[in-house]
Amino acid sequence: MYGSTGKVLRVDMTQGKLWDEALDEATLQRYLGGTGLGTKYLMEEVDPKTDWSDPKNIFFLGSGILGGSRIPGSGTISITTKGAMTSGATSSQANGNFGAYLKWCGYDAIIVQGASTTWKYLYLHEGGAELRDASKLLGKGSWETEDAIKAELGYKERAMSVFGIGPAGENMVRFAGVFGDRGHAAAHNGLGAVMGSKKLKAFAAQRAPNKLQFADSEKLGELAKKTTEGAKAFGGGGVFNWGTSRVLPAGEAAGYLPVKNYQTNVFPEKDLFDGQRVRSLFKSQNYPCYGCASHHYELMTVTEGPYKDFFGKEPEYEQWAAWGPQIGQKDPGAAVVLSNECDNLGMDTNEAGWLVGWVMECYEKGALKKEDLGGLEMTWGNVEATRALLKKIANREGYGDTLAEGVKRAAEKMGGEAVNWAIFTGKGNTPRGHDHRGRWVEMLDTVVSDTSTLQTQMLVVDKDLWKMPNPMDVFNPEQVVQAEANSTGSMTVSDCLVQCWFCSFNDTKTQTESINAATGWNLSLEEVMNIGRRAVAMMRIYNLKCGLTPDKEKPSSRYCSYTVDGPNVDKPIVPHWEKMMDQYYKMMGWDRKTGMPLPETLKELDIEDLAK
Amino acid sequence: MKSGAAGARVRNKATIKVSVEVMSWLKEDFEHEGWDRLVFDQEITGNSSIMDLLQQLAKKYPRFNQKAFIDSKHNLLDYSAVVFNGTFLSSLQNLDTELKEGDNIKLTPGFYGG
Repeated sequence: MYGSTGKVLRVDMTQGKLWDEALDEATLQRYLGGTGLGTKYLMEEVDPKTDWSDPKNIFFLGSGILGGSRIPGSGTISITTKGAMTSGATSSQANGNFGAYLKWCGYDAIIVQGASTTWKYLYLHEGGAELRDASKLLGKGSWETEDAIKAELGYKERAMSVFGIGPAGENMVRFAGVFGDRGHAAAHNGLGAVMGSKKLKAFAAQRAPNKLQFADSEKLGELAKKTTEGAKAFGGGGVFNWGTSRVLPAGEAAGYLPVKNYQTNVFPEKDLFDGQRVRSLFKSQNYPCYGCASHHYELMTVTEGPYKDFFGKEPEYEQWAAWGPQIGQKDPGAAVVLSNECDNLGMDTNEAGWLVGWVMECYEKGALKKEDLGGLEMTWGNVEATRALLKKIANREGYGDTLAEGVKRAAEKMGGEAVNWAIFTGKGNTPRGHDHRGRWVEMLDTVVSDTSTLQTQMLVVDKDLWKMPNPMDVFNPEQVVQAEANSTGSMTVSDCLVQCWFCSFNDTKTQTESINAATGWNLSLEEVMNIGRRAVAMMRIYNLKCGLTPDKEKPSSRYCSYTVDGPNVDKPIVPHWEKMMDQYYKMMGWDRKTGMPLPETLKELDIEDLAK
Repeated sequence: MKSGAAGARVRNKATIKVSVEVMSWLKEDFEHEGWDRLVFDQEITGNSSIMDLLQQLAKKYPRFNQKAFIDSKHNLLDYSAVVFNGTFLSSLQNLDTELKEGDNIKLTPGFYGG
């Protein structure tokens, strides 16, 4: 079969057994791989009533039909499992090289089931796969784990890709993520906690020779160039040239920068965090993912201030936001430290940033005291206290054990007024690192999402194709709902293909051409769009059976609160919320009371049997 | 904010001065390569709208013109968002707002992403 290895690797952690399983062409045509394929296996094999930490839960890590090809961004992986934060289906992606190396080792995906009694890591190589003893890796952070496995097996830096968990995953912190290739993260919904529950420390894949075959390699090469040109052009080329780091000052100007846990929208030190300034000031070097020509991803050494000589990855925008303005912290060098230490401990920066901001607000208002926090003075911007608190959370030490449950559970446990200071959704997840009171479409998306993080958004190159309002008034309730509902599936196509959004910008037309060139299939644009929509609907159906019902689709009171300053003071979403939800459900073809896709919606997506 | 079709206004020949700040990677399209802030005063005919100002800037800066107005695949608001006197403008319609002496305009990268 062109574009695919035709195999998935099955791993039974309970019995320590590995075996190959065939992956047929019809299944791949229906799901493409990644999120769609993972959701199919989850629905077929994991009872929705199963707890996320039960050995019966599966952990799917996959590439897609373009994985390991010349198409930019095709080294990405997508992970699907029943997640620890929402206790529902999740889908989270990480860029890097693993997706390509996985396919070159002979597999489109890995499905892990069961739970071991001793710690293991999975080693994939040209000759097959094996579980190896990971006892020496316990307690190691994600970077140290990469180093240790490469040293043990004798691989140089880029000759192997490693993704694994840090101490937080080992201790089943609910928002533990999966990290690899020097700081790339599949961070959302506690994927690392699920790995921890199985005593699986890491996945390691050799850069084996590429034996994949494609139907039309010449055409695929042309489409690879077209994809790169598209990425260079989108949004003026900012992400291609600078990654996500240069938007922080602009985010403050536009009102989507989170500052001090949504208590203000003013951050006077914003220019200190300008990505170009930081790249000029600190020492940085490009560290591209497989097949990518952009300058999105860089490694960085701090060159001044109290954290001089600290080396790690350059924070993404959301890490700058979390470890700068969100916690009232003004030193970019310290933000580099906190970003990397949070990654290395193995925790989702988004959740951790909201959590630390909430703790600081509780401390400021007297709801938490020094003695509650093991002697830590959690004042705004206190870097050393934050470093210590992150370690306590990762190790579930003292009050860190409560915080390890995430923002919603920690706040609800404390109760009282403190719940109103916490940023979360009714499903149990938290937003990306923005102030969504200035980005209504993302707030709506975060709240209704079945992936536990953004499911769709405005990052779509061809707005006409997806029938999005263009131009769009981002504070017009009807247009916001129209944009959200109509573009549903656009990002999920990328997540089924497992292609980086910053390479594809969800250009479905080029993706469809690439799929057909890779495989020799003749999928229509509409068929590809429906693959994304189908995966979204499948996750929804599964999550409804997990108990994630429409009544949980609400932002917390702080998340949707009125802004008190900044550029969006007069734009509260609250007065429009219920009407927007009604309109959204109608446009999605879902039953407003039960949340279930209506019979005609199920028929359109060819999943009528799944709703039973 | 007062709005209306720019072409329907009676032109005031007197010029006014407004402050413009270009942010993030948009600075490169205004021929500014450094990371320092790019803030300048711009003279424009009285009664002009924000859109008139953007068009005037587009004539002076070809790369801004190319990315903001010529590429039909991308809408202006995808490329650049506008903050007017500290208020985020969410629609093209708002760009018809008439400018006054001393107004402050910030141009930020477009409004997309997570």
